[in-house]
Amino acid sequence: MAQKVMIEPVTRIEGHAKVSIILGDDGRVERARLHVNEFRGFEQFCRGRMFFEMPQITPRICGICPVSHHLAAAKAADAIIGVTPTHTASLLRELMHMGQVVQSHSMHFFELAGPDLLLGFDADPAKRNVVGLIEQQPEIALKGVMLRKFGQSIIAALGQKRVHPEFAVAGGVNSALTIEARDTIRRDLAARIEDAQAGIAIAKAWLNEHQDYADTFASFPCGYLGTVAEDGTLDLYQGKLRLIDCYGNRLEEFDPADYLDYIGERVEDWTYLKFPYYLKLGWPGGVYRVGPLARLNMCSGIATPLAHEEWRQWQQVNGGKPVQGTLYYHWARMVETLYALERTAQILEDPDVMSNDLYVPSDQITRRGVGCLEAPRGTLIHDYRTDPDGKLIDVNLIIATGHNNWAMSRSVEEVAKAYVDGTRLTEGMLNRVEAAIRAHDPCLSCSTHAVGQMPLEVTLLRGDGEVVERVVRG
Amino acid sequence: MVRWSNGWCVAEGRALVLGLGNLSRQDDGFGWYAVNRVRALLGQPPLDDTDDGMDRLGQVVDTAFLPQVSSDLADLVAQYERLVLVDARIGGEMQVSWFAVEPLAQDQPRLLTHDMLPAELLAVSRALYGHAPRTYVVTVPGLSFDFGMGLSNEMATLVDAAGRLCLLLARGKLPA
Repeated sequence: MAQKVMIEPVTRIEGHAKVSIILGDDGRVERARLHVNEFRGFEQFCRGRMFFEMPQITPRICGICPVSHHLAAAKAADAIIGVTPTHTASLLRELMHMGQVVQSHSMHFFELAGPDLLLGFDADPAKRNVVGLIEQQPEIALKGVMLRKFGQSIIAALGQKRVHPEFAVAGGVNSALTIEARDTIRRDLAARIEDAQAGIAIAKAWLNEHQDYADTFASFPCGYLGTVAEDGTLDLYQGKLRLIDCYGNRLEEFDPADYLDYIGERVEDWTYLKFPYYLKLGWPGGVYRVGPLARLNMCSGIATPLAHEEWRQWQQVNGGKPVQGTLYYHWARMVETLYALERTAQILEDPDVMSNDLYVPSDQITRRGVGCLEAPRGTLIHDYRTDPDGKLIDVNLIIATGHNNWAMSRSVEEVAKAYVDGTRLTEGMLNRVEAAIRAHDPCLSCSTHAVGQMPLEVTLLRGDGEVVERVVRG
Repeated sequence: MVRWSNGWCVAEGRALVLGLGNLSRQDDGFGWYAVNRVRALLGQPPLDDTDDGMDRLGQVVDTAFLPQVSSDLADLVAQYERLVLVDARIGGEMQVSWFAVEPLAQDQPRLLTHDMLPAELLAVSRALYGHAPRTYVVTVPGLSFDFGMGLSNEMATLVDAAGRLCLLLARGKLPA
C-alpha cells in the first residue's frame, strides 16, 4: 500500500509550506511535493489601485526583498507611461538593487546556510544556528552582519527607509544621491568586498571537501533562466532574459515584456502556487530554475573583475556545462554578492550618478507594463494592465519562488530517495530535505510576521490517509 | 551612560519600543498601531504608514516599526537598556499579554523563514556587542492576516492597553 510522508507547518502564518514524500508499496520514495501557499491574494489586493501606487504597495509583499518588488513595480509603471528613465535614474535604481542583493544574499549565506556548512548538517540542532555559529566562529558571523548592514545602508541612503523605500517612481526616481551618501558607501566598500571573498572561500572550501556529495545532492537536469546584458554578461537589473537547457545550449533570449510568448504556468491541484515552464518544450520538459545557480550557469561572464574570476572557476566545475548540484547555490550566491559590491563601486564611479536628471514626465497611459529584474532569489516579473485612466484591472506577479517551484519539489524528491528508508523518519533525512529547499532560498514567509516559529510536522501516512508516524520539529 | 567591560556604551534608562508586522495584512499590523499609541502617550506625532521611525531615534524612549526581527538590528538593540517588542500572535485569549525574553539560541535552526526570533537577536547582540537589553514581548492574538488594511474590531479595542503596557515596560516598571 502506498504511503505518504508529510512535512508541514503547524502554524498558519509563517510559510504555509508543506512537504509530502510519497512512498510506494515497497517503502521506497515514489515522488515528493512541496506545497506552497497562495500568492494571488496580493494580486487581487492590488486591483483597482492606480498603477503609480504600485512601487509603494508591492514592497509590502515581503520584508526581505521589498526593493525587488519596489523596482520591478517602478519598471512596469515606466512602461505604462511609455517612458525610458534617464541614465542617472537607472544607475540609482540599480545601486539600490545592489544593496538589496548584498543584504539578502549575505543574510542567507551567513545565517541560514552557514550553520549547515560550517557546523555540519548533522550537528546538534541546538547549535546549528547563527548563535551557534557566533559562538564557534564569531568573526565569520560578524562578516555576515556587516554585509547585511551595508546593503541596508545603501537602501536607506537612497530610499529614506530601511525596509519600504520611497524612491523609484513611474518615470524615474524622486531624489538624487548625496555626496555624503556616496562617500559613506565608498568608505566601507573595500572591507565588505573582503567579507564577501571570505564567504566565497568558505563555500568553495566546503564544496571542494565534499565535492562528491555536492555533485549528487539534489542534482538533476533542467533549464536555467536569468537576465543578461547586451554582451551576455550577468545583469541583475536589466537586459534580456536568457534561457538555456541542461547542456548549456541557448534556447531563447527575449525581451522580458514578451515573457508570455515563452513562459507558461501549469496548475496542479495539490498546490496553489503555479509552475512556470518553457512553453516550446511543454510540461514537464520545459521546467527550469532561477536564482544564483541559474544565473551563473546561463550567463557568458561577469562584467566585474573579481566576480568574473570566480565565474571562470565556476565554469570549470562541470567542464563548462551547467552546474546541477543544488548546494552550489551557496557559492553562486556569494559570487553574486561580490559582483553586487563591485558593481556598486562601478556605479559610484559613473559621472552621471550625481546628476539631478532623475525623472521623465509623461501623461501617456499605454495600459500595459511589464517590469522585470533579477531579485536575489531569481527572476521577478510584474505585469500590469490598466484601464484608460491608469486603474489596475489585472496584475500578474511571477516571483522567484514560483519559478523554482518544480525544482524545489524535485530537490526534495532526490534527497528523499537517498535518505528515506522504508517508514523511518530520521533526523538526517529531515535535515537534508530542509537543506535542499533552503538552498533555493524560497520566500515563503515574508509577507507576514508574527511572534513564533515555524515548526514542521512530519507525518507518515498510509495511502488511505492513516497516520503511521508523526514528528514535529521546531 | 554605562560602559561595559568590552567598551560598549549603553545609555542608562533608554528603551526602544519596536513594533513588528505588516500593515498590509490586517491584524499583523498591530505593532504599528501600538507604537503610535506609545508615541501619542509621549506627546509625539504618529509614524505614517510608510515611516519606520528609524531616522527619529535618540529619545529616552524610542519607537520604530519593522516587518521582522533581523540580525542587523543587533548593534541597535545593544544600545538600549530595555527593548519592548510588540506584535500580533496566533491564537490565544483575546487580551494583551506580555512575557520576558532571554538571550538564547533556538533549539532548532531556522528552517525556511528569513526572520529571527527575539531570543536569537538578543543572543547575537550579546555575543557580538557584549550586551543584550532586558527585553519584553507584548502580544495580542490576531484574527485576520489576509491582505488588507486596518485591524479587526476586536484587536482595535486593545491598542490603547497594549500601548500603555509597552510604555510601562519601556520605563522599567513591570505590571502588577
